[in-house]
Amino acid sequence: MTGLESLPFLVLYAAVVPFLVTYFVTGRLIRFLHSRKMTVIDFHKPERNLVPTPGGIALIAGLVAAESLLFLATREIGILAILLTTVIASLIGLIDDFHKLGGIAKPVLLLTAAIPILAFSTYSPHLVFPFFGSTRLTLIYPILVLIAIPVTANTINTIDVLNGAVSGFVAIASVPLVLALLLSGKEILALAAISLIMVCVAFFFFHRFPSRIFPGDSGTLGLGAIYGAIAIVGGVEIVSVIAILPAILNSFFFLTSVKGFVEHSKIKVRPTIVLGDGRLMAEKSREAPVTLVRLIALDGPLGEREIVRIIFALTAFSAFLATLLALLM
Amino acid sequence: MLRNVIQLMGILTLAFFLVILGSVLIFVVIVPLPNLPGRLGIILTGISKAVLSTLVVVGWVYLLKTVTGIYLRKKIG
Repeated sequence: MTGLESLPFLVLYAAVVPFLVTYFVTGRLIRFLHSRKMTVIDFHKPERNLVPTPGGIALIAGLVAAESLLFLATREIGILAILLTTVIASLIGLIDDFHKLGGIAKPVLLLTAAIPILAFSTYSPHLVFPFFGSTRLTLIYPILVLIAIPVTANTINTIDVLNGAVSGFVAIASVPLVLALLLSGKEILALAAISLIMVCVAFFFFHRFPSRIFPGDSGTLGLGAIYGAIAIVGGVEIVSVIAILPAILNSFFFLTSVKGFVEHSKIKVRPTIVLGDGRLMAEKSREAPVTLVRLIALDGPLGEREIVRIIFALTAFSAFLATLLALLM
Repeated sequence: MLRNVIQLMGILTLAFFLVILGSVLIFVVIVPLPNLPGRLGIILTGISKAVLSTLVVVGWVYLLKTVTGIYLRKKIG
């Protein structure tokens, strides 16, 4: 016993450290990326301003710092699996940020991110349902784990559509995850989920409208992978699926309307049109892909901030449904 | 705008029930089905489970796609 695994230290590792690391690294990263001219155009602004990217490096720094300290303090092997899964997915995202990967290459490469969870056997092959109890899936579950990480990583990636959307979305969707883990007595994993929230909140200060940095694929894939890894290792899969329903529906709408895995840059008709005053209008053409933003803007043009607020409202509603589910289990 | 948000919450609620219902059908009803006797029985049971699970997923996708299609057509005209 060194005392470093006592509650105040654990809260420090899970909440304070990731927030401070992400906040300070992001601030410095913005200046560094600007000086190196590593910027992209913000297509949703009429003035087409340049925004530094990838900010995922700051998100990874915060997550690695928090999960490493949590692992060193608790020696919980599940935390190590979560940490490695996050690092692998973020590195794949980083490769994609500098050298665009194809529509199918990304999910295939992301299969490797699930290996730490499988290698350390940090999962329980049971799915728990409200009213129906738990069901044992000894043979199928490892296959589901392999698929789940690329699916969550890509799902979170698709919600990175507007300023602040993905960081705010993950922060809100992670709240029911914390509650479900606490209810099932997995406090250490709940702390891992709290560190995810804190990283997202710290990044949101720079990512919110008007964005001063974009997370890039390194950030979004890392956030999605850690979210999926916490859900699997903590055994709160169904709750986590419900909490990210807006992103799942966004992916579902997109994939069913474009009929397959296609890189966003290859889409001919955009789902929304940017008006001269910066508001977004839904594309009326039947050829345009269906996305959550397009559905939100169907009643008339809306400002970017308004659309992001609606995304957050829908996420809060899903988080509420997920919390209800966690309480029923 | 508020009406649109409420309608989208309706789609989310439908998806919520579909996820629960679909997962229960696949993982609680179909997957634990006992195998038929013999080697051929095991193969046939496996194929049947895969087909039934696929049907549930296809039904899930069809229902949600239809609801979204109706919503889009109503809005776009």
